[in-house]
Amino acid sequence: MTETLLQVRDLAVDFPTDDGVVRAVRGVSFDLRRGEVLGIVGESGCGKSVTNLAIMGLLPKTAQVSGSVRIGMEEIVGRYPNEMRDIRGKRIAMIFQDPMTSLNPVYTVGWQLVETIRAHRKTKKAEARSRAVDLLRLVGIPNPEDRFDSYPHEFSGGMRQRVVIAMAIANDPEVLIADEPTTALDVTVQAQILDTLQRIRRETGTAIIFITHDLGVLAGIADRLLVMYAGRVVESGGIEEVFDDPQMPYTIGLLGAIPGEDSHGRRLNQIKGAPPSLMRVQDACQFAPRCPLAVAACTASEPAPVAPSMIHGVACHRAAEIAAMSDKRSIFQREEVV
Amino acid sequence: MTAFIIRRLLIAVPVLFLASVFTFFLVINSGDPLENLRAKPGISPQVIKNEEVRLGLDKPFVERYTNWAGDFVRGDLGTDMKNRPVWPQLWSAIKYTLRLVLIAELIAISIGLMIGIVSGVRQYSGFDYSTTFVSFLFFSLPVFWFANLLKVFGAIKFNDWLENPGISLAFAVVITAFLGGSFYLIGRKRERLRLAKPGAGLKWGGVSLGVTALVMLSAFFYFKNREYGRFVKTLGSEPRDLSDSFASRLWSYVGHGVLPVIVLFTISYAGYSRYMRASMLEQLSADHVRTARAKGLSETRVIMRHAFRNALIPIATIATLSWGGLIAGAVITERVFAWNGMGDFFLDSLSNPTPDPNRLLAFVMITATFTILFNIVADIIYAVLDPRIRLG
Repeated sequence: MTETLLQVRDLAVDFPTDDGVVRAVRGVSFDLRRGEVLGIVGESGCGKSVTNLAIMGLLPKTAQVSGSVRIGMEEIVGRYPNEMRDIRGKRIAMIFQDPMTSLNPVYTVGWQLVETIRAHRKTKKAEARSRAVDLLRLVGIPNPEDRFDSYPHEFSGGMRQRVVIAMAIANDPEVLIADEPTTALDVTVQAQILDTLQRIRRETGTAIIFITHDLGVLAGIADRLLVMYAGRVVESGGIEEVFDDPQMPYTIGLLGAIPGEDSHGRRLNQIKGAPPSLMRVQDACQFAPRCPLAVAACTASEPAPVAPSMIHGVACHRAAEIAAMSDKRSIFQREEVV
Repeated sequence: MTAFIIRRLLIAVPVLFLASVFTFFLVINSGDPLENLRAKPGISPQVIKNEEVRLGLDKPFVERYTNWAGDFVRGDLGTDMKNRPVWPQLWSAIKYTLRLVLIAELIAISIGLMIGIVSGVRQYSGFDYSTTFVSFLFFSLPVFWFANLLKVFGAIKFNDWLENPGISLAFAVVITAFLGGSFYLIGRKRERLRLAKPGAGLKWGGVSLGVTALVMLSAFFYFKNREYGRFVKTLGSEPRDLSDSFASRLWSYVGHGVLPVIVLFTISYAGYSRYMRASMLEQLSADHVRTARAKGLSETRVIMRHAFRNALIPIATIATLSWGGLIAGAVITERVFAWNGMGDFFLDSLSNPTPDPNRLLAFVMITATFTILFNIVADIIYAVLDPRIRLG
C-alpha cells in the first residue's frame, strides 16, 4: 500500500445566499496516493470544482467549509488565507480550465514562472530563470529560451496551457489538481496536453487529481475514478472496475452516453431530467427522480456515502441487485433511430 | 512608436483646422464686439468705422478667417480689444490654472486610487460603504455652494481660530477616544482574521490612545498664548506683496491655493476612487488573479502586482483624457476664489463687457491642442501598460 498524500474526509461546502443555503458539496471523502491519477467526473454543478477549490483554499470568503482535508499531517480546512501560502503552489498546485484567461496578460510567461519559483524558494534571479527555461522545455515548449520573454497573447491556447502546467509544477508539488485542463482545447491539442501530464507524472511522481466531464479522457489517464452527483461521491473505484462493472445507475447512464462501436445507428443513452437544486436537499437519493430503477426506499433516505477504504464503493440502495445484472445498459431506454 | 506619434500629429492638423473653422464661425457670431461703443452717446460714426476697420469687422468671413489663421500659424495670437497682445495674458492664465489643477489632480489621483484599491479589495465592508457614501456625496456637491461653505468654515472660522488658537479638553478627549477605539477595533479584526498576533487589538488601541493623548497634551500647551495671522485666503491666486522673503511668499501661495485645491480635489477624487474600485473588482474576480493566488503568492503581491497593475489600464485612459480637459480651467471654482486662470480668462473674453474674438479663439485653440495631445499621450500610456496593444 503506497503512502496516502491527501486525505479528504466528510468535506462539505455551503454557500449562504439570499434565497437559502446552497449545499454544493455534501460529505465527500477520498484518499489520494503518491503517484496516482484520480479522475473526478460529474456533470456541471455536481461539486467537483468546488471540492478542489476547497482543497486549495480558493473558495470565496462566503463559503462555509467543514470536514477535513489533510496533506501529509497538515490540516487545511479552517486555515486562514495567509496560512495557506506555504501549501498553495508548493505542496498542492492547480491547473485551471481556460488557458486563455488564467495567465496575466501584462507579464511575460518567463516573469510569471520566475515569480512562482521565487514565491517558495529563495533563489537568485538567474537560477530561477534557468529553472523556468527547464520547466518550459519539460512541458514541451519549443525554443524555451526565446519564448521566455514572450507574452501570453503570443502563444496559442495549447501552448498557454503548457505554460500553466509549467507554473503548476514549478515547485515540485506533491499533488497537482487539473480542473478540466483540456476542456477549452481542441482534440489534437487535448491529446498533447494529456501526454504532457502523463510524462510529468512519470518524471516527477506527482499525484494528479483530474477533473473532467469527459469519460473518454479519463480512460486514458486515470488510475482511479470518483463519480460525483449533486455534491456527493456516488461511485468510486479503479478505472477498469468502474468502466467494466458500473454499479450506480448514474455511472451506467454516463458510460452509456459515450459513442462506441455498438452504438452505430442507435441513439445514445440519455439520462432524462436535470440535476436537483442543491438549495433544499431532501433526505433521499438525489438521483432517484431520474433513475429508472428507483423504488420507494430511494426516496425514503439517502444512501450512505461511499467510504474511501472501499475498493469499489457505490452509494445506491439497489447496488447489490445492479451488481448481479448481466446487461446493465439496458436499464436505460434506448430509442432506435427512425 | 516614433512613426505612430508622427502619424498621429499629422492627423491632428486637419482636426485642428476643422476645429478652428468651426470656432471661428461661432466666435464671430457670438455678439458684436463694438456693442458698447455703438451705445455710447456722442461717438461719431467715423470712430466706429475706424474701430471696425481695426478689428477687421468690415471684411467677409473667409478673409477674416485667413487673416487670423495666417497669424495663428506664425505663432501670433493677435491683440485683444484694448490692443494688448493676447499671448502674455493667455500664458499667465495657463500657469495659474496648471498650478491649481495639477496639484489638485495629483492629490486626487493618488488618494482616489488608494481608496479605490482598498474598497475594491474589501468590497461590502464598512470601509467600502463609507467611502462609497463619501464619493457620491463629493460627486453630487454643487461646486459654488461647497466653495462658499469652505470660505466660511475653512477660511473665516479657521482663521479666527488661528488668531487665538487653543484646544478644549472635550475636543482632546473625543479625538483621543476615537483614535484609540478605532485602532483597537482594527487590531481586533486583524486578530480574528489571523493577520495579527493575539493581543494586537489591545496593543494597537493602547499605543494609539497613548500617542494621541501625548500629542493632544503637547498641542494644548503649544497653542497656549500663541497667535497666527489669517492664513487661509479666500480670494486671489498669489501674494500681493512680491517683495517678501521667499518663505513667507511660499506660505502665502499655499494659503491662497488651499481652498480651490480642496474644491477641485473633491470633484476629481470621487471619480477616480469609483473608477478604481470598479476596475479592481473586475480584476480581482479575473481568472489570472485566481492563478496568482493558487501559486502561493502573498495577498499583497496578488493585489498590487496582479490585480492593481491590470486595473490601471482603463484608469490610464480616463485620467489622461480628463487631464487633456483640465487646461480649460475650472470656471466656477476660479470665479468663486477670484483665481486668474483659464476659466476666468474664458469668462472675461466672452463678456467683459463684449465678446473679444482674438482672446476667445486663442483659448479654444489652446484647449483643443491640449485635448488632441493628451489623446495621443493616452494611446502611448495604454500601449506601455498593455503589451497586447502595439502602436504601429
